[in-house]
Amino acid sequence: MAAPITKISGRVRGIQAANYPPDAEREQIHLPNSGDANIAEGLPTLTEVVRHGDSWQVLSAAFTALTAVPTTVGIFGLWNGEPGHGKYYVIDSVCLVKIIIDVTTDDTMSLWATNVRQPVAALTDAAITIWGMSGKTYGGRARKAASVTTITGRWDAIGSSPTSAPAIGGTAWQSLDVPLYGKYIVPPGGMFAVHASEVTATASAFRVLIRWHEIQTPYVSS
Amino acid sequence: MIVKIAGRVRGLFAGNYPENREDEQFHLNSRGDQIVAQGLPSQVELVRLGDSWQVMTASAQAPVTSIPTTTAALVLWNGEPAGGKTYVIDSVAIAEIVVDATQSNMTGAWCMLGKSPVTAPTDAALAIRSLNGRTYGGRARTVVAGTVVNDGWFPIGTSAPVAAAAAGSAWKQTDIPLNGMFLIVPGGSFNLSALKVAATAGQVHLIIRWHEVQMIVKS
Repeated sequence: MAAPITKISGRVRGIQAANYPPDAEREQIHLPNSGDANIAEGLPTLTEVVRHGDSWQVLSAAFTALTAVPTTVGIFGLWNGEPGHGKYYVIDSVCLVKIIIDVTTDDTMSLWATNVRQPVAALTDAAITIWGMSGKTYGGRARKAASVTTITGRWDAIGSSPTSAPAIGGTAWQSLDVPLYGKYIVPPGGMFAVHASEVTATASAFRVLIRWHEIQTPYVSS
Repeated sequence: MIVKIAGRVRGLFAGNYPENREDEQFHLNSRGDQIVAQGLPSQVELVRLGDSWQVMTASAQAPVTSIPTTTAALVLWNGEPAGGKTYVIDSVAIAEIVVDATQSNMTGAWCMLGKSPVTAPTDAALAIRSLNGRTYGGRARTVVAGTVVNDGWFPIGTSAPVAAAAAGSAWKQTDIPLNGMFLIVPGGSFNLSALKVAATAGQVHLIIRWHEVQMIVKS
């Protein structure tokens, strides 16, 4: 027998919201006269996923930016070492930071990302600590490495560059934090890689941070 | 028994229902997505519960000129007992009140989560202010220029623009929404420092905003 269909109706909110007493159990959810469902966020956006304890971040070693669009090398890569149908990595955000001052001009910086299709050969893991966003110790299968192999023509410019300092001497500690909201999903065996570009490549001027959530759920993979 | 919940599919026009009708269905689009409208600004529902707080350094600090290790400019420690409230970090801010000494400098914000258990620090007795006008009665402790265990510092936020001339560089603010990206469990800590090329004395105030929420966190 087919399950019965129940129509859920709400109360149309006019100019004033209601003021129901606590623990009332028979009040309807509201909707505006357009028919949308009114909602209110119970917690800040990322709290629900982070409380599950599988949200992580890793900071690269210092590196030298390119002076062109990246091609076959990503300066820092995050490889998903889960078995098939294991957890995928939802990229939360990437943060690029300039750690020393520019040498010639006060350069604007750009950040590039690529999602390299699986199967990517397992990276030799760099000895860099992965830190939890809720204070946990990492026990997952991610590997990360500098100078990973990527594919020409598959790079995306991400984020809006911050305004640079007017004087070269003040250019250090500039940062570009790009929320990606899960725009990139790295399946098991795949790799997310980043690189940076500026006009004059000052040696070891940058570090880059990748934040991600490890999620177990079905997804379309081919 | 399984009950199927049904909405009304919206075509090209939204509804225009009269006020206080009680039997109007919620809408969905032809894809099957439920259509929603945010009833309040995103933080209101949580802040109205009265456990949302912020703290600022009482005296402006000198920024540091290299990535922090075992000293944090501002520390927020969660003094709840095990199973107690988690601190959901809402945002951080850095406010500069003195001009740069040599040239206009960029400002970087770096954070670090101290893994629980962090030894209870001596409270700096900074005034913890409510986001809805209450008096703080919780268990948080704060420390200024505190000695910490290095559990991994990381950059956050995008740098604010810098004034062209050093003389105009004061009052730059960098406010970074974190939206619950970091959760501080009981016994853990959240640490914040500001980085600049030159360390001008008494230049920056640091602010942390958080919500205290009783929740289950995988630890």
